[in-house]
Amino acid sequence: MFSPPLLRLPFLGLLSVAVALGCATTTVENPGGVEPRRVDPGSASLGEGTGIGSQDLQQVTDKMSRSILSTPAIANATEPPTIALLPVANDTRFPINKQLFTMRIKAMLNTQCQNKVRFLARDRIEAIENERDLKREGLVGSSSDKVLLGVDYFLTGELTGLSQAGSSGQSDYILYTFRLIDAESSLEVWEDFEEIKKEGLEDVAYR
Amino acid sequence: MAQSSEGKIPMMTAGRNQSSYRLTLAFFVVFSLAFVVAASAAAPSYKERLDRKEQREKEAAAAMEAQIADILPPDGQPTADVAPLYAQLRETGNNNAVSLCYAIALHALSADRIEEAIRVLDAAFARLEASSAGDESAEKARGKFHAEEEKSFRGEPYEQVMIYLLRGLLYMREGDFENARAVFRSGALRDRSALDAKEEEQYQDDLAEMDYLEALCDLKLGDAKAEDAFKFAHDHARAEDAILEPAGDFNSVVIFLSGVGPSKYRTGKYNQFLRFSPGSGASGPLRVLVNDNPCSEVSGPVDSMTFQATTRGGREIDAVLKGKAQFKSGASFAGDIALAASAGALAAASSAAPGQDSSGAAAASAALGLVGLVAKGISAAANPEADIRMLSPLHDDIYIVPAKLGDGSNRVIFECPETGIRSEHSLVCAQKPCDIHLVWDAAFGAQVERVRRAKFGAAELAESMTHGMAWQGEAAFEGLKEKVALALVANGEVEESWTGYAKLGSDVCPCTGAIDKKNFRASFRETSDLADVTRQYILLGKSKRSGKRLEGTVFYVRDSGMLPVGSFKMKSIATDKD
Repeated sequence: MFSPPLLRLPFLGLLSVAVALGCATTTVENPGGVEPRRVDPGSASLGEGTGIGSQDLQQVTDKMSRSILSTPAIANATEPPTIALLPVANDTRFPINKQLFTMRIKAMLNTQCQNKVRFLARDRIEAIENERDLKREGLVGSSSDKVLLGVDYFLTGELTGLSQAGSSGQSDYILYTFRLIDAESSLEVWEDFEEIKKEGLEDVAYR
Repeated sequence: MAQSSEGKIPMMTAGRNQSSYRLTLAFFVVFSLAFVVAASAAAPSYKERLDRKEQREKEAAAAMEAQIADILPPDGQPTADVAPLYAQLRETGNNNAVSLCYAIALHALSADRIEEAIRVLDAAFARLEASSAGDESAEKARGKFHAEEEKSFRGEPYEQVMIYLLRGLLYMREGDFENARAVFRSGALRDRSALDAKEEEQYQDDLAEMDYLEALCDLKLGDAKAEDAFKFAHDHARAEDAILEPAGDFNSVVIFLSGVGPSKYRTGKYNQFLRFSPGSGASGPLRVLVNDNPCSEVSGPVDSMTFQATTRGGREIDAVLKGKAQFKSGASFAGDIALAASAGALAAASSAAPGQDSSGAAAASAALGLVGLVAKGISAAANPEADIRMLSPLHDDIYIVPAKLGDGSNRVIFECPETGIRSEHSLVCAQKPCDIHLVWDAAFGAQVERVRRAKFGAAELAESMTHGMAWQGEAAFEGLKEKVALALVANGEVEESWTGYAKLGSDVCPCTGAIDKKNFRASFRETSDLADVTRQYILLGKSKRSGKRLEGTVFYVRDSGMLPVGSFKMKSIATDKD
């Protein structure tokens, strides 16, 4: 014969299972999605991997523009030197728009320290030459004739990466180096670097 | 008196307990009824429920659309050939985005819609490179009651590499060799072994096609690292001479894809194991003729997807699936015990003597029965099934030929010198910084294999080998009185994993396998030339005397798993001639 306390056990068990199953509803965050919104460009991107993000871009270019201004060749120059951009070399495993780095450095120097350096639009040289030809031929008016300015320094850089991946995780180290090269002597008058390392581990569902 | 009191006391206890039990039961019933009445009163009306359902569906559709907004055509008007794929994308959101992006990219490339191909490949690339830590779909897939395929599909490394390959080639086409190189480097990193893989099974980072294309980019960039990249490619290529080192002025990269890639299937009691069937690539030699002039000749492909799939090693998610299978099995077992106990209690209740109170046993039987059913339900709901979604269509063998093609149309022939099978194409040089020609002949591998089989007889087993091992013996199948002749040939170096032929009866078919001092495994797909029938067999057994004798079980692979259908015994008839 079963004793009543023992009899209650199956009921309690059943009740517990039912309650547990009833409460086990799946909760999904943001079922309706998230409306596009403005975020700080210096914040990490959603789902960012170990690659190059906007946060890195800001960190690197902020440091480089400050560093350029403090270099004696710029800080002590009597006349603001002219600078042209050379392509940045990408030797990492991440495909990127490489010119973003030099473009931001240029924009920062131009907006924050307008009188310290001057940039030459060598990337638009073809359009400039065409316009000059039209002016010289008298096809369009000209307020004054000017000579094309020569370059004092070239600004360039290189992104170099060291990447490793294994079952224990993914690691990406990127060395960002930037240089100012004297266009006459090839002397590197300034160089600075920033290094960023990121690590991560995939969800086990993908390992 | 003493006897009387000894007799009365238990009776009084039983009576008190029974009334307590009835009180509990009555309270439970009344509470349940009150709960049901209250719940009914608070329940929304039918119309309200419909409105809420419609709202939820709208929100779900909007959420799906937001997930794949970067993939959809900017003008919202896909072309007819890819419209069904975009429609599927809208339905499934991120869950199948990578494979659908790949399928759309193939359509776009064949129709020369380069911008669309770039857009969808970039989207797939971003998903593959994004961190999966905290991914809700992955978390769900790990759950006991959710299938692995609820995670957003990323594919196995050999599948992912196709996304990287296509995207890198498109960068090359535009002359952006730095970004192309970056993509190929990332692609090479997708191949990594599982944590518990043995050292000798660490086949990671052996995607030779990625190393090779990286070397070609280095060459175009004038980077001295090209030499190292070529060396890596040589080391990893399936055939050493498959890596050609061209002069830096090559203007085209011709990618010849042969055969259909490996397919996935599930095995195990609960379909918890992911396994791969070999693809139809022949992995044979290839001669390339451009406008009837010899361009290059190699003894084998740069890479084989069958090799990559079968040397994948264990996945760490397999341990999760194994845990789910154990949970399912355990819950089922607990359910069986509870149901058995319920049956026992019911028997005790029905065998109670007349006048004896059996209501307690009957109630216990019912309760245990319910517990058993709930446990069985939980077991049925647990889902340890492995994810067998695939990137499709996928090739098997890959040959890469850098070439200098003339302007306009070029007649290019891919020929297997071993069998004479040819695949002819007209490739137009479009004067891009680097023309990319992607040629896929799905039937090429099967045609080569068919000719090889026709040449292949039992007597030639050992003779056909230039390098490798061969075994001959017989298989005994259940229900068949006569034993069937069975022979295997492992071509090339037999180091753990090998590829070759199996001959079952008179049918010869490609075979892959693995062997060490103790264990032996072989897998082959028997295809009838007369009818469109394919049967897949797996041989699992022991390797004795350093592989000289093999014996074990023959399994027939079906959708539901592996079915043992017989046994086999073989002995070595030829060993490595080196």
